[in-house]
Amino acid sequence: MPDVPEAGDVRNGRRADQPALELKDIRKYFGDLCVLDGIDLTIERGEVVVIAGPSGSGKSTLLRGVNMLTPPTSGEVWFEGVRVVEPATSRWNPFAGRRERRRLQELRAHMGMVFQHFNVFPHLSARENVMLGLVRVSGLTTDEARERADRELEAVGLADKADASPAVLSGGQKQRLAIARALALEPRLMLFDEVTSALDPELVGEVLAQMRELAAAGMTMMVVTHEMGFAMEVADRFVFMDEGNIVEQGTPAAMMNPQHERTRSFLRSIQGD
Amino acid sequence: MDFDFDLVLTSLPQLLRATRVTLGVTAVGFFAALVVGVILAAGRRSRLIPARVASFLWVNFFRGAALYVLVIWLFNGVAVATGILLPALVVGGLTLALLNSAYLAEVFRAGLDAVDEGQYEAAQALGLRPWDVFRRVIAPQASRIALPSVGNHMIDALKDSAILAVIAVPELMFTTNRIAQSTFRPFEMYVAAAVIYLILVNIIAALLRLVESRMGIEPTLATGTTLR
Repeated sequence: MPDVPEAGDVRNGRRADQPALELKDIRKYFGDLCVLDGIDLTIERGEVVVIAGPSGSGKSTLLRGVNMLTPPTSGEVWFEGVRVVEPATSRWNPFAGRRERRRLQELRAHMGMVFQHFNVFPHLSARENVMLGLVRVSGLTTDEARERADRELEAVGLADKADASPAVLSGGQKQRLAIARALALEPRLMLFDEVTSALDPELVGEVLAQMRELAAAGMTMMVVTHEMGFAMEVADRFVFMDEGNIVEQGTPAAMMNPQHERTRSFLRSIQGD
Repeated sequence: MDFDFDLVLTSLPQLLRATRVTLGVTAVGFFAALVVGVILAAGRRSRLIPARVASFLWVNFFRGAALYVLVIWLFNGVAVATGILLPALVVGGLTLALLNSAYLAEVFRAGLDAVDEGQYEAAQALGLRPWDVFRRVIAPQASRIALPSVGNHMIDALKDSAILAVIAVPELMFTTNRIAQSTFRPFEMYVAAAVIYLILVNIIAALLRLVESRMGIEPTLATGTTLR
């Protein structure tokens, strides 16, 4: 990495001249099973990259490696020129990896993540779901956070559900709440992990609409999805993975005529259902 | 047979004073057990080997200790071994605390295990500190799951406090024994004690149900049966 200081967030050491995300030779093994077999991928700022592939191809593992929810076995993750490091853990020393952990928390706050199963906090109201990060991570006062949370809820069309418990929300509403919760922290990168896969078909549209809006606003997005229509329309780049490798990638238009048989058969199989 | 109701009435002030001791020693012992139980549950789930081993040993030792044996051993054994005679009330509270801390540790551990993995992930992905992940996201959900069981253990602790009579803690059972023996009217006195325990347990059960419904928890069979 160049060590000339550049414009950017000085406190985090992030640099404006660096890509949003750089993955270098990412490998992941679960025991003997190789899930990621040396992935190199760079995502520029404002770019929307859709990752697709059959189940078991490693696409979710790759996405979860970015914020170290599933730390890669080897390889490097760089976020805006800052290395994302898995904190060291020790079975004996409670203070091991303390500094790295704090650093990772700080970086995670700038990377929003939305999950397949929403993972909204069921014991908090919709508004409190959004407020939690604002108060505990961004350091806003409760009043500021409430105001901010209401704006975020309005942006995803949940203004009238602010006081509702997630238990009474539909799947689509829960997922939009999860998006609002992530966006409230003003992330510079959004990670979407099959966010429509657990939704009833008629609720998929409202979530995709939210993501389309976000992409149009210039958000950098890494999206694992089976929604090919959405991918073709919104993606700047389409990455096809299989068996832990990137088989091929290109613009959505180019991917209409894939070069590899595996890509072709995958696209045929998902269009079949 | 004739039931000497006057004896019950004249003993009532003494019995109520003793009831205060029963409630006090149970409350202090159980509250201490709650605090220690949370620490033990966290220890059982810690990645640190010393914390896991220490919690495991503590839980299995005190869960395996018979209350009757433990209270006598703490009262007499400690005095013999160290020459320090602890007040019976202190030993009583300590016994309830030690025993219940082991049970509650298991209850809390089950509660923590029951919280969905996705909740940890979402909290971590937000950038919350480990303490906030626990305090703001995991603990509130785990305690909802654990509350009915905690309530049952609280009721058990209240009834278990009767065993403290064996080391002369001036609680309800001890006082009842004393009056029964000096008046030769055990039947009346034990009926009175039984009724007082019954009332206390049902008051606690009602309070627990209130808390549970406030927290939006469905009443479980365990705590529900005492009122049904």
